[in-house]
Amino acid sequence: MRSISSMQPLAAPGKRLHRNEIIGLLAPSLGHDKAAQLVVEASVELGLSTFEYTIEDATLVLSHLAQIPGLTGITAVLARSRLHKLS
Amino acid sequence: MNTTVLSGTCTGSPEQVSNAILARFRDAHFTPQALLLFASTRCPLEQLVVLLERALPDCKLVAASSAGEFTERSECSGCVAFFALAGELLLSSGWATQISADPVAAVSSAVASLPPLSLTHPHRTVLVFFDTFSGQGEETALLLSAMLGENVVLAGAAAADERMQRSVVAAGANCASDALALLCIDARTPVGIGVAHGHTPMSAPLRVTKAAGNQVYSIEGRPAWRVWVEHTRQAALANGTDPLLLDSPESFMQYLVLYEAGLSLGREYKVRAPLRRDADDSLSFACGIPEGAIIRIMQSSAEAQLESARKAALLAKERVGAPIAGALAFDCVCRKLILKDDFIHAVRAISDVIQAPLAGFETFGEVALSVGEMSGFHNTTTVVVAFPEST
Repeated sequence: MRSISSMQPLAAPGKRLHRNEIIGLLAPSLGHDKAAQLVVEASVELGLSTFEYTIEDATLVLSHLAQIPGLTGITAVLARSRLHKLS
Repeated sequence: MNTTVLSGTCTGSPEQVSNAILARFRDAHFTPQALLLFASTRCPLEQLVVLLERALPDCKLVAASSAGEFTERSECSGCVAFFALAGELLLSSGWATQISADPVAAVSSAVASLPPLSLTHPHRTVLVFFDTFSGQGEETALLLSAMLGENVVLAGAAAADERMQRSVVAAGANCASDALALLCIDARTPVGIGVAHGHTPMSAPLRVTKAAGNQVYSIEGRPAWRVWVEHTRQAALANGTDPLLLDSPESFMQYLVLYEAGLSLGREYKVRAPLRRDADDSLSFACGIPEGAIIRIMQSSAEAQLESARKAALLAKERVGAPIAGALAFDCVCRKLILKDDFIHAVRAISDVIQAPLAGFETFGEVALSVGEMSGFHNTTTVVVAFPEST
């Protein structure tokens, strides 16, 4: 069993992800539109591309969203723990 | 030793129900390793689980209050359905309270009592039951998946109450509202899970403009309930109900579960159940709804409800791919409200596919999260969990 604070991605470095892949991890719980809005807003706030992401960038975006209380933060924690599925 | 299942329903006081279940086990020479109870709030679970825990000390007992109970033979209201399981399975249980105040702590606590996965029984399924009125449905499912790992299958339901007032869950002799009960089943072969709903959009896309947690205050800048009335009243009037004349928490809830919210996932919709209209015309949902989410109000026909029940059973059977020992069915209470006296046909549709002992209940929300999935809490669905004969 893993504690919630230790759920970091086990992903291969160097791989680049399209925005829609990150949105796809959040959308099943938050809906596509809200997931897309969150990913774009977080990317802008972090000064990242809103189109293509390294695994490290994606981790930053999801970690940023994981700070939001409630369902959004919990969804981002789960998404971050499953980033390796995209690599 | 193959997995075997015994299912049935009983009515009466906790003492009468306990005695009847134990008599069924004696008559069938059945020694249960796990016992699931789905009980009307007319038969207090607090008392029933203490009696059965005392009589079956080696059996893992997990229970939820329900809004209607059924087996492969019949459906009833005001009774207790049971599903007893035996076989070469490794079983453990988890329990936590206060999930509404701190879902992370509650899920962590419940998961902490589960053992590491066995090398000999690598397929773990965790049956999850929790209090609907905690408003933490999806949060609980996602936290469980995050903490248990992506290869663990989740299935279960939000406890219910035909009077739509209070739901409880139990693990062992523990029984409470605002709680979480887990039954962890480790097996050599995986269970099959099917999930389906029959709802389609009836409104244009609507933006949630003010929300906090599971409370939606405004949609398109107006009080949420008024928007719901605006979009559903015409259809409701055609079915003999005027939402402007509703006058009790029960009547509002019965209305709202017929017209739930759909979150767009692209071509599909994830349905979210509003459970309560509050005095400020806000709506309280069964899980968090993020501010800014785009929803549509959904509806369903009787035909679609029957077909989705059958589809869930077919999916579960297909995923087992072997003879089935028995199955659990968690069915949204909306199906009974839509089908009324024809609800038994939905149960028969599931039973005809499964062709094995079946038990289930009418829920206020369903849990199904298979390997690789990213959402586990559902509304308006039928979730069927089929156990293979061979473990």
